[in-house]
Amino acid sequence: MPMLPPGVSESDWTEALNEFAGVIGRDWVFADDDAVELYKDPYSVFRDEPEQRLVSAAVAPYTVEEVQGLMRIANRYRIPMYPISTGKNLGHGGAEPNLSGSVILDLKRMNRIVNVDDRNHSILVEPGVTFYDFYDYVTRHNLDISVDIPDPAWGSFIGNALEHGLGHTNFYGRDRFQTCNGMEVVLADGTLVRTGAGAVPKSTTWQDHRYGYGPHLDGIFSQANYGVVTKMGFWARPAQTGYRAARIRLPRRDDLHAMIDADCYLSNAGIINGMWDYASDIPGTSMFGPPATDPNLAGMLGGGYVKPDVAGLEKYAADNGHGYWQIHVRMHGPEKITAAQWEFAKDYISQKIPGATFEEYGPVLNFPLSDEDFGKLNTPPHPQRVYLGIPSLARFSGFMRSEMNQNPTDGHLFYSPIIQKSAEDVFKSQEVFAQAFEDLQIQGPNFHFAFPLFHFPKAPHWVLPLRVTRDREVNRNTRRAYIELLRIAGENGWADYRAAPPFQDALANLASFNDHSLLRMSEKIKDALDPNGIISAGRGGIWPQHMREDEQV
Amino acid sequence: MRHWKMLALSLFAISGNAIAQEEHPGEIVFDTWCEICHGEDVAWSGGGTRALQVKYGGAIPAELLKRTDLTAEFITYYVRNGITSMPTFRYTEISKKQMEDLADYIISEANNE
Repeated sequence: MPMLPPGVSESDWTEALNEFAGVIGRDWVFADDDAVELYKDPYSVFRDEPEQRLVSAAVAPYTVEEVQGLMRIANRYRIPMYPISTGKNLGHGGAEPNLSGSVILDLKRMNRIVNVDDRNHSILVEPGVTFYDFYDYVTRHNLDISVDIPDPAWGSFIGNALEHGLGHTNFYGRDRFQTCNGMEVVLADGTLVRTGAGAVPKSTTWQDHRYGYGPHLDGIFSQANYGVVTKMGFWARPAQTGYRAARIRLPRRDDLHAMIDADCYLSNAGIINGMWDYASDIPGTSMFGPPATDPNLAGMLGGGYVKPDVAGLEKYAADNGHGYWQIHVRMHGPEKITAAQWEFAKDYISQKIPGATFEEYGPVLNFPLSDEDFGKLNTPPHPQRVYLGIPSLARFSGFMRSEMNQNPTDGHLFYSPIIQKSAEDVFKSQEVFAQAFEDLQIQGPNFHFAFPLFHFPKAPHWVLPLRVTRDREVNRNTRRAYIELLRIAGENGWADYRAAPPFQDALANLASFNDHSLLRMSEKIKDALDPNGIISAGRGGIWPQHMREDEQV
Repeated sequence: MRHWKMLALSLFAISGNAIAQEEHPGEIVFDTWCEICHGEDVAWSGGGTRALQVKYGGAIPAELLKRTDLTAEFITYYVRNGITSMPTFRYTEISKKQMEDLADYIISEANNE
């Protein structure tokens, strides 16, 4: 028998479950152990320990009216509810609530693609719609529209957006929430709200005009607990027309300064519109590739506390036809346009970085793809599907057992601090994390050659998976390390862009400017919109008034 | 290759082709949830297939649809409990009935090879 929701009597709980069933049918109220177990975070860093977040039940509505009905009941009985879209937030907590005993409001069945405008390029979807669903829909209907997607692509558009998730394709689109355009939200008392232009009855611009009139409130429903988002609009783009990939090699370590400055210019000017990826070009520096076999080279690479022999490596790179760094550049658009993008970028970077070399690789693709080109995706030098907005789990499978990963973990906890888009901050963060991972005795890459990812338009984020296994000692060490890494990052002005529920209080507390005035304001909004504190208590570090003293870190 | 399979299924559905009507109900579940990781083409959708290839070293087939040693109980256990990076799947994703169909489909496909 699953646990009772906190603060709810057994008789009230029985009544509430019956009333839930009256709204959505008994088949969609899950209150037995087998079903409830499935809402635990499969990558829980508290696996089988007393602190693991548990669930009292799950309810799965099919319509917004059913969501309203469920929320009215929950509000009357003061039952904590935890909405999830598809619960595929792996590495960041899955479907796990912040508060044990919450009822999961599972919105997976609400999977309607409400509208697709392939003329002015926007969409309106429900929370259960995944990136696979959308791609299949667009393909079946031969629509002239595309969106950025993440890998793994089995998650929800809305869930990804509300967690500030990211795609892999275009500069204007990779940051999902940046493309958000209008919401439908059920408040704690069941009130239905539409934001932006959608608040005007008969509006024809809900997904076109972001603001409507008045305060722009969409942001308060992300990484927070003020309402249940039941529909969300997004700006999209026309279908892919073409793709070109290239790499830039830089001879010297310090060339990175001019390179990232050039990236800022070329990206912000809209000249290079695809993903940039940074790496070293020296053998043995990638954590996904083989180690250096040349003992002289291996000795120069350093690692952990040991800094690399930069002068020696620059000479090695020059003598052996490598760059010290290599930067992958991706361009989207018609072939003539991407050719012009690349020509301009080469000229621009050549003027800034003497000795930089340039090379296109893989095919220049034109859409619609031929069967042959389509079949070669995900096989180097052909692009990954995700770079073209085609769903895949290829990158996700990097965590699975493979020739390079003979002993996979049972999950991971992502540590993902945001830094400034500058070589100064990249180098500084490499040094800080090299030291920290060594001090904490946790596995990581050779940070002297590792890079954050450049998904967010103007601020890269590190993606550092910490080990989660079935060994409690390993998980305890991961928890300790994560909290310490948060502290170390905070000292440098960096903070994660998202966190799993057990760590959201600690992350939210990094925002301590003016005695945590941001969090105090968030709490006032919580008290006003959800006075009984029934929605996702603790999410984003925001606890309802009656739980604050006990729960806050 | 789910992309092409979905296209084909939609064409069959439009034409009312008898082939669509004969589709095993578990195949839809497999195509939706399993094939994206346990597919035939490792580059496309074979993270799970590659993992099983490495785990068993070819002693048994890496593709689930070629395994003749699987039971419904075994398949259900891993869908509901996950393993390594494979997460659990909830009843709103794969219902109890769909789970039975899925297990039946995997077992029957392998034994029909």
